[in-house]
Amino acid sequence: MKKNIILSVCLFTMQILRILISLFAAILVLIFVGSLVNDFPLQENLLEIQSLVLNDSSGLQLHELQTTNKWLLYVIIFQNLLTLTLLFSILGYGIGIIRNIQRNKTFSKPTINAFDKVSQLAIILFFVKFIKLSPIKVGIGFEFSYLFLAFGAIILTQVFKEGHRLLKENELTV
Amino acid sequence: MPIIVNVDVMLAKRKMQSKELADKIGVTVANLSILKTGKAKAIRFSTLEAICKALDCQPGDLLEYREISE
Repeated sequence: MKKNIILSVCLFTMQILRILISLFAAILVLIFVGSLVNDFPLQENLLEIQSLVLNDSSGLQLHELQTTNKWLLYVIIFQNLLTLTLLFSILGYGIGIIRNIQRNKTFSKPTINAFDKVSQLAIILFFVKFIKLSPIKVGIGFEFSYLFLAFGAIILTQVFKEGHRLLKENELTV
Repeated sequence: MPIIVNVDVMLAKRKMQSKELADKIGVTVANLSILKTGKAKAIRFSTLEAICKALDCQPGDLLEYREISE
């Protein structure tokens, strides 16, 4: 009963986060479209979104820009959209894992594959977030949280693979 | 699998059906089929005991080791 409540709360939270991520991605797309259509205050809005949504630290500053290049702002929008897409996918796989556990298919192939995909996406996210872009400066920085997520998912993949093997062996024990 | 379970042989000797044996030892026909077809990875002592009791035989009558030549 307790396990089901915890899983249900996690599932609900993840679904809410996915909705929020979709919302922020939509705002970013609107900002981009707005900047193309008319003279939209791109820089100010982008800075606000970045600090609010992605909680970006500045990292190791490499270069401070004297003037803001519009193309750089577009690259920043693309980087942020990519980050949000990766986070959306990771949450999707997480929701899938929880649903499998709720259906008593804990040690199944889809669960193992989901953990594998989460580790791959987390590694990609780590490299995407390596370059710290903002409208006024460019830097580099390590987001170790994504690396730890990747390592955790890799370990869990192996644990669930072993669990799957033991389950199969148990099913074939008369 | 090098371990062969000769349940079919003993069933024929005792003139018993698989379903009857499955009911007597408390396993499903599907599980008994896994045993008969050599797909089983392991057998519990409790199951072996129940089969021996139902078929009035020894574990040695049921289990045979046959080395697989490669």
